[in-house]
Amino acid sequence: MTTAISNKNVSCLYIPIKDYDQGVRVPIDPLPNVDDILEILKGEVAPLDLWLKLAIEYYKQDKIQDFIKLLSQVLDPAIEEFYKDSKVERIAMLNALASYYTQLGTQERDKLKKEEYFNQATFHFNKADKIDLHQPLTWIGKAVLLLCKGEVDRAETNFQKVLDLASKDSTIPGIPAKLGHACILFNKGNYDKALDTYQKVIHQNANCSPSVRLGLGYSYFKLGRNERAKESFERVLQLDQDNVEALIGLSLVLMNEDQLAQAMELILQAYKLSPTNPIVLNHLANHYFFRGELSKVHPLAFAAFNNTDVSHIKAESCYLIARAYHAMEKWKEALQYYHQAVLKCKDFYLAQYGLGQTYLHNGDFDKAIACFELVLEKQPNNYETLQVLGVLYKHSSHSSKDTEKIKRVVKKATELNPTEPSNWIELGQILETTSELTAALDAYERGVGLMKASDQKVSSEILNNIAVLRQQKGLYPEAEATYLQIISESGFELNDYKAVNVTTTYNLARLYESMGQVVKAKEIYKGILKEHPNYIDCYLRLGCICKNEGENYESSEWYREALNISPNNAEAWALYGNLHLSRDEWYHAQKKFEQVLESSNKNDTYASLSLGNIYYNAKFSTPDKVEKYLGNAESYFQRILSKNPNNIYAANGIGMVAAEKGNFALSSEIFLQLREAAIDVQPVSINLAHIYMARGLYDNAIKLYESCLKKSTSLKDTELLLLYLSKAYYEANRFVECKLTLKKALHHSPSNQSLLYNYAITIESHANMISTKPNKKTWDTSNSITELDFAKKVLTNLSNTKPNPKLNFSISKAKHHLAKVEKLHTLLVDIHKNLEQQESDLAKKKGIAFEIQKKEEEEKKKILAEAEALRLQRVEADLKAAQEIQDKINNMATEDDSATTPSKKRKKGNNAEEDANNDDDEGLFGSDDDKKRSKKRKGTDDDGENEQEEEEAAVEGGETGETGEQETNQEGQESNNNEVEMEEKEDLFGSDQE
Amino acid sequence: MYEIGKKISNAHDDGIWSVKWSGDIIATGGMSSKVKTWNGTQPQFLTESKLFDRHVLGVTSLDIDPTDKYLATGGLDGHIRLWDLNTNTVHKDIDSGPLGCWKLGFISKGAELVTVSEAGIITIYSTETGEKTRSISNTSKQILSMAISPNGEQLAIAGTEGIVSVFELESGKKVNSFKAHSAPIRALCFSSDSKNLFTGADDSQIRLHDLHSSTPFIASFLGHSSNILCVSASKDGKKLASSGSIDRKVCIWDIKSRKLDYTFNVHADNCWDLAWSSDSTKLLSVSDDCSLVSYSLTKQ
Repeated sequence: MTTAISNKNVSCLYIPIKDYDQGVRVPIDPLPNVDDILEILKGEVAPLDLWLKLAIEYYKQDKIQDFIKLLSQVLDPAIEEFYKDSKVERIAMLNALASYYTQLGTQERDKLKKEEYFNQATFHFNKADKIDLHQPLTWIGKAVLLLCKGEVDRAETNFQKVLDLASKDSTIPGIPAKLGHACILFNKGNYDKALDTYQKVIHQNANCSPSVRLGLGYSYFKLGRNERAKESFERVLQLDQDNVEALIGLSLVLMNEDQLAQAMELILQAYKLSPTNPIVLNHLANHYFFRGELSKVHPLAFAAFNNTDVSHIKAESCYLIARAYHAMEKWKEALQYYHQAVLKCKDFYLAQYGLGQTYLHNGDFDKAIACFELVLEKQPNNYETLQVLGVLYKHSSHSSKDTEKIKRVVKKATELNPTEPSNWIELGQILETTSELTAALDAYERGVGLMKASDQKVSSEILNNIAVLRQQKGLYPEAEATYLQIISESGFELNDYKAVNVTTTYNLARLYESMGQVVKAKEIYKGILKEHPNYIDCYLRLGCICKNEGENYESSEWYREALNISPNNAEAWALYGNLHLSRDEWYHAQKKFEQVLESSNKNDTYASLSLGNIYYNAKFSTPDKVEKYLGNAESYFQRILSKNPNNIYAANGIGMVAAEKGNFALSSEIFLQLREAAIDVQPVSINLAHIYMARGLYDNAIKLYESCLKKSTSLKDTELLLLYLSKAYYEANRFVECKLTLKKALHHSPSNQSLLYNYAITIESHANMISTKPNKKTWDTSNSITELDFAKKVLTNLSNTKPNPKLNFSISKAKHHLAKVEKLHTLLVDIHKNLEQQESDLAKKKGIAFEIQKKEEEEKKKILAEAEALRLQRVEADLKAAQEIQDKINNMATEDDSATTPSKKRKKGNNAEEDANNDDDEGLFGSDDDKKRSKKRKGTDDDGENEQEEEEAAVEGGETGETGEQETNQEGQESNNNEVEMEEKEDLFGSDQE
Repeated sequence: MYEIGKKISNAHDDGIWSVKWSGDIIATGGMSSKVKTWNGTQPQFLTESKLFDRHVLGVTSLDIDPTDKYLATGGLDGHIRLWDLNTNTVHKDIDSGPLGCWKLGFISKGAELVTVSEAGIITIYSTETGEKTRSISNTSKQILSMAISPNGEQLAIAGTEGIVSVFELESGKKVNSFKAHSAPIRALCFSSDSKNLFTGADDSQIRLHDLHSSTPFIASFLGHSSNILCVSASKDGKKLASSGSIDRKVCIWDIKSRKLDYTFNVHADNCWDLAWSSDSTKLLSVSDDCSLVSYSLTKQ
């Protein structure tokens, strides 16, 4: 900062005497008393720049008091008044004072005093501003002050302003502003631009002070251009061989180039020059640390710490102290100083790492993790940190919290060092917890592969994990191989191994179970139980296997065994309850689930849910207690929701109860909401569809059932859904689709008699509809009759079945329907006969009509041909006559000729008219027919159910047909119409029932 | 190379339940009343050939006799229809009552037709006369699947209870009966040497059984994630094809190594039936999604 004010050595100054040419000579060395000088200056009204020069001389001779006294005169109102016009000079003086205070402020360590100095500086700058607000010098001064106060951004704007002005007006000194700007750029880490600016300054002013080159050197250093940095520092040292900063810079460069001895020499040199320079001290301390002279580290580092205000230098010192303590295994102190270092400089990752290590030593894993994570933020590719973190996460208490983060860390470690097996194993373990089976297995396999390649023994735990993963992925043979490998490597036989490692043996049994090798699985489970009679899981699995095999009694025996050993085992009770549920033993199931709530967990969700469902289902068997049971069910569901408001199944239960109580609005709202939240939970969608059914919204229900059917994941669901869907189609009178759906269901389970029963009923309803359908064709009726034949057979079979409580249809109803079907059958046969009769009549008529038409046409043609022949004859005759006349009467023939031609023309015209008339007739006929047909269609729509009218209409239809060609067209059209009508009618039925 | 050959997307208007392939003739039937035949050889491979429309309810099973003279179809309506493939007319129409013919197949080199009903009644008819010639007594009910051994000697049936029963066709004697699964068996097929039996069940498993052993179970083939609807061994004895319902898969297995070779995911709904070409290089699958798909399965 002071470099800006450089002066050549002058031996004396002259103070001009007022009104004389002569001046008073003032010797510079030594300067006279300041009071005397002031008297002269005031007396002779010396120009202010002289005042400033003298003040600077005082400053140079360290007569600070005199310097201040002299410059302070500028604040004297009298002086101010007198030198009113010497604005620039006054500003210069004020700036000089302010800069002095700024400097004082930066050097002061006492905060209060520092503040005071900075305030003084500000005060003087403000004074200068009052004289002229647009003086660039003041701005630079202020910017420097701001920079010293740490207000970098404001400083930068000030510098920028000056630079802007300087670019327009070359008299304004731009260099100081540029330097300031470069300084800011450097501190912001923008080394490129800083370097650029420094280079420009040097280019503009080759003789600038060495400190500019210092900036250049440090910029090069930061940019890693060591050679250029070295050159710069050496140049500075040429100019000023005692420049401490240059010495440090140069030593840093040398250190980077591994020339430690030379670097240390420079540091020592710097130390001699400036024994309190904190950077020098830190470097020395660091040097001694690496030489193992730990005792020398502390005094140096402490001295550095005390000699600086700059926090990152302080942090460095603390770090050095901490490291020394760390090396001496004085953990408490190390922790303290690492902590200090981190506090002083948050980005100081080396200190963070040290702190993490210390925490790690103290067993404070969570804190250590936090430290290492911070290190990783700064150094994302630091392998050691990644590895340490990977291990640490396993021990930390909150490992489950952020597995994503952990995964990233461990993955990175594998990326950086893919040949280290432990990294892969680590990754595998993490991925396992997040159920990324494929990735986890991959990681494990790579790890194991690496271990095998380097002849390391793979522990049975890792192999076990691999096997489990393979099992989960469905790679059963591979999993089996791995389990067997573990067992064979242990040197035991499978039978003995269960005594050694139950877990692996149990897993193997689970594998066999999922491979469908139930016998093997059972054997192993039983074997394990011989060695470990308290291994509950084995009893439970055995129970499940037996249940799946349909051996219910044996299954319950195993569950009971389990409960003997552990009477409060919730899982055992729940499985036992499920066994009862599968056999519709509601009472026993209820007792089992109640046991769960009583003995193990009052709030067990599964048991509560099961009980709610049991009570809900109980209403079907005991109609008199519906109210009570529904209430019970509701309270169970409510209880679950109060503990766990997001339980969809409980909310679903509430919806079911509401629906059962007849509150369809509420229940459909519940189901709709649930569906939004969990579109994949099938029961909700199915229930919503049921509600639509109950409200008569069949189309909505059908859509929902169909979408559920598409997503169905189990055969049981599929069969049920087909049943629901067929019911919905039936209710919507969409019998064709209903039959298709039932056919599908029957194909899945041909032995389900209720499906057959439903099929027969649907045939009946469809036939009923066809019998009352207008414009039916023989195809409809004949189809219907064959179907009714089938229905008759089915219903006969069904009504002849022996009464049995397990029958899922009613025999009496089957009989009732059988009678109806038989009636319908005879009716349809009659209708069919009629239709056939009509159709054959029609065909005959068609034939006759065709014949007639043919004849007519032939006759017409004949007549026309005759007429034509006649005409031609006549024409010929005329011509002949004319010719004869012409021949006979040669010259007089012209008049006669003119008389005959028009008559010829007239005849031709008449013929044309006739043709047109014929055409018209045919056209009218056709359109008439169309009109009749369309009328008829409307009529049948209105009275669609009226049988008689239809038949009349059908007769009418028969009559209207006249010409053969038109008839065939009509048929085609009518069959099209039939389809449309059917659909319309279905809609009508639907809305009627609504 | 395992690859999809040709896909006929709307081979039928409704779901297809059954497919058979004999030489030049491919026959398909299903939910709709129509039974179709397709060309089985190039260059018109899988072009529609004939249409037989007589069944009122779906066709659950069909077979072509070894002389390619007759096509037999059996439907939900219980009618067994024998079609003369030369004249394209109904040769015989046999009424066996509702669900009276769930599965059927030609035996005795085409001279006879064996049918099994849902209720487990096994009946044998003469192809020529359409008359019932004899029946095989059987006690197991709720039958879902039937298979005839390639050597024509044995008949296997299985159903809801997971029990397989094997009969000697000539004598009508039951020669073996064992519980193969604890779930309904919908898929059944003999090995090409007629010694072993493959079963596919609702437990998603395919199992291989030795019919001449007192402990028939040999191995499980695991790969399907839903109930199995069809298993079919290639005539060269090397490959087994299987199809699933909800998983929509068609899987090709290597019988010797018992490993899954390849999985096709072509269908959008239950894949009910499969048929091999006689040279074992092609496979057909049919599905509820109304499509007929051919696969080329030659080793390179």
